Amino acid sequence: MAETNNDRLKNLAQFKDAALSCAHCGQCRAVAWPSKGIDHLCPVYESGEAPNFEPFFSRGKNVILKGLLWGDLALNDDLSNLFYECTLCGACLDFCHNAHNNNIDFANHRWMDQVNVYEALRADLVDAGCGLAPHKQMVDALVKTGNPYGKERVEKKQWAGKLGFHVKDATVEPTDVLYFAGCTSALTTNPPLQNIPVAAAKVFHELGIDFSILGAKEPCCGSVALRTGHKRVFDAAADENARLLKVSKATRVVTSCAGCYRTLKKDYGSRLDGIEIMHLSEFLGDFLSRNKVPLRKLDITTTYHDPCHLGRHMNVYDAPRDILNRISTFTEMQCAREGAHCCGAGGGVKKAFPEMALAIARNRVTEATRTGAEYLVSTCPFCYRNLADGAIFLQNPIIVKDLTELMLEAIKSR
Amino acid sequence: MDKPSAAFEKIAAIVGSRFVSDSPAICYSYSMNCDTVLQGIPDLVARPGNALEVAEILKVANQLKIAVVPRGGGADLTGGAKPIGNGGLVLDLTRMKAVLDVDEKNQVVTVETGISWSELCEHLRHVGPGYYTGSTGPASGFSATIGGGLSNNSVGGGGAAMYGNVTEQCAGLEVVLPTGDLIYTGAKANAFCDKPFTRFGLGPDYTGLFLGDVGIHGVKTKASLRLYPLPEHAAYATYEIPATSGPQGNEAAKATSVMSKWQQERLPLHDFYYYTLGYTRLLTLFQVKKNLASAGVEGSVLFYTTVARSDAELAGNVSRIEKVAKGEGLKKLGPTVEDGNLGKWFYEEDGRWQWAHLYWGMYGPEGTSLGTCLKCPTYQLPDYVKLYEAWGARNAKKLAEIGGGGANFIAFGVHPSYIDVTGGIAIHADKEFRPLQHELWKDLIISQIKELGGVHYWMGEIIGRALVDSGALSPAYFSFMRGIKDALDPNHVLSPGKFYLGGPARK
Repeated sequence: MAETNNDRLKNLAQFKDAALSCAHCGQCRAVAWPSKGIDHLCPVYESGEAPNFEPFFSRGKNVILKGLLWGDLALNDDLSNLFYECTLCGACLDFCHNAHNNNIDFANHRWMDQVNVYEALRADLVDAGCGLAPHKQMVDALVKTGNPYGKERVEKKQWAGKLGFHVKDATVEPTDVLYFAGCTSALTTNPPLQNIPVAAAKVFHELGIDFSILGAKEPCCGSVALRTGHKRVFDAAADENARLLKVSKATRVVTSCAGCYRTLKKDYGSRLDGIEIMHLSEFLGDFLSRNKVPLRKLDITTTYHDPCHLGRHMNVYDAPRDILNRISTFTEMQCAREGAHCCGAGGGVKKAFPEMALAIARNRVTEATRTGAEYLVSTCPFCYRNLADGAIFLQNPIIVKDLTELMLEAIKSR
Repeated sequence: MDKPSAAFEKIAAIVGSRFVSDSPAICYSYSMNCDTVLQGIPDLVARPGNALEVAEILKVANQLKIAVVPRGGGADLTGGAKPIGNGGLVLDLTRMKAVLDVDEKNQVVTVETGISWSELCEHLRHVGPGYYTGSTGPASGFSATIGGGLSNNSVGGGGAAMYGNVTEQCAGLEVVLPTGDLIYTGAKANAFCDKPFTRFGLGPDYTGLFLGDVGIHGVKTKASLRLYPLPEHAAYATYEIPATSGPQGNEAAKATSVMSKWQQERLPLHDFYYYTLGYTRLLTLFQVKKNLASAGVEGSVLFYTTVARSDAELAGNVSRIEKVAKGEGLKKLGPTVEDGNLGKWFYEEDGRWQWAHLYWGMYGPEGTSLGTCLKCPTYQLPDYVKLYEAWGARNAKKLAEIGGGGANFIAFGVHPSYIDVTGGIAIHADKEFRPLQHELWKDLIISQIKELGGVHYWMGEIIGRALVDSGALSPAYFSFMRGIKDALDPNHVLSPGKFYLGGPARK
């Protein structure tokens, strides 16, 4: 019997209600809503790199989803580029009839779920052999080496060698708090993203927080596999992480990576039940206020880029800002929080469409520059990397930093 | 070489290969507008960057006899921004979005027509003292373009009670005719006129020929619109009109009395909106407006907004407007959105560009809206309530058959003295039931046309054709329409099939 479209849409079918719920109004295309800090939404549509036919923002993709589910269209390579040229930032979802007013609750917003729907379709595209080659290369590396960069496993603990003090191995010396560095910051030296886990560990050390790490044994959280449609690889990574984290007996897993945070906390489902997952900004914000830790205000001006995986996807907006307000002179960008523009790196875009990722980063760096701030701060190494690339391209003097690095400076000089 | 392939090559030579596509997925994404009942998949989509490219494309279309459908924001409610039947070329005009001139002396802004109403209004906020277009487009103004609004005689995105239809604000156009010739209308038709400032003069109002034309007479590439200073002061209030034991028309009659007096006394209302009893009950039942539910609203709802240049003027406005409402015994809700003040949400939180979407999704995730918006005398409001009730009762069985749905509307004031009955059918959108969905939609439209003489404006595919089918247009009038179309578009390449002009034959 011939395979039907619906047989090939097993993942999308799980989100059928969401996939069919778009009303085609197109608010996700060209909205300017200054009173809500929203000035256009879709980073791909605004990048200048796409031809901007309908599927280069949410509505066009959603019409295609209907065509797939109704059997009018089939999975093929033509669709792949359209659905992979999306950072999965979720700005379209957040704006789609979400009035941002507690008193107004648009009925159709209750059904919409673009991020999960697009990830599901990507999984079906991969199953149909229509995934993108750069993503396959990255995921193959993940399977082989435990990280998407294809680096030797031992390199994952390289950053800990820069600390000058002993860090406990979570599988040997368990602690309540386990710091999960994540592949991008642990393995990237240019830009110097290893500074992030180094700073995180030093902050813990300075504050007397007993913590451990998985070091070379730390697997990839699997985010890149899930975002690019390689669901089986993700499931394997998630199972391996869950096994290790349970063995560690940690009660709190703290990460400085927004991508790892979302993945561990949201995408793992019940795998990590009983373990609290915290972003470092949340953890430190909580710790500092409970222990009344004094901080020195640094003589710098900062602005903050909300990583999509921390802000829109997980609703963590205040913790990083509270810290930045304590340690620096902080200025908000015009488009911030729910209306923040994506950095351009997510959803596999940086790997498969580097020029587009760079164009989006340039736009975001330009926005940051308008605040007059010296520092563009984020809480995600992947955002850091892409924004730094954007700043270098623009020869923009703004200094891209992770919040953790500034925290360390503020704590050390208190 | 077949026609689409030949057209692809020629159009790619005009706009560049990046901005033309024959990808089946991309073409499919242009096959529907806001509803899922009307569908037509084009062979090609092009995104021209300027009027000259539009002109060249239309010349190619005439050579190859290719149908061309202009499309702005694609937020059309009645199938006007997609082909009727499959095939042809969709002209996506959203690349053309420059603000070309803000002429503060003449109080006119000139733009390329692919800019959205929200983009334009945001731009104007930052010019001089801050401006806006008065009537701020259709209720889909977050996405709808200036060109789309002008092509549909749109109204409803705020400011309608004070400034009327968006087309009333048009001071002239640049139009590419179906043959590919490019003309200016209004004052700029005089080649020696420096800036567009009025559309009247130099003979007939040919600007009007292209306003509300649903893209059958030409492709609007530039538009000049009137500017107004942003109001410095605004006030708003919302009233509940308690439900009575009789038919819904009783509440509507009370609202009509207030609205009519407001209009007849020429009170300075920026907007006023009436939510029918049935509609309000749906909003509270489905918790769309949690504030109405928590405020204990059980009746229908009427809100207004007013603007002024000073506090004293504003206080005077409020006093005169509210005196009328008080005289009719309406119950005023509290001042905050939480208290149920929809006027505040509408004005302060850009509810003006979202109020029409409240209905969507109530009948489940796979829902669609079938618009039947029209203009009518204010006094007819209770008659429309009855018409909708009768239509619902008549079609209850059919609605149940297709998985649920219903018809409802909101009415709002349009300058100077009539209302817009905006609404239609919200329905379960299972593709299997398209013929029945289409039948129900057309039935409501024809009821409005024949029973109450409704004046629709989103003509799209279905309403333009229903207008012809209903017999509302006299043979002489339809012949006049056809004559104009034939003269402008001898090969019927532009938007064929709308009003049954060109394209597939009328069945």
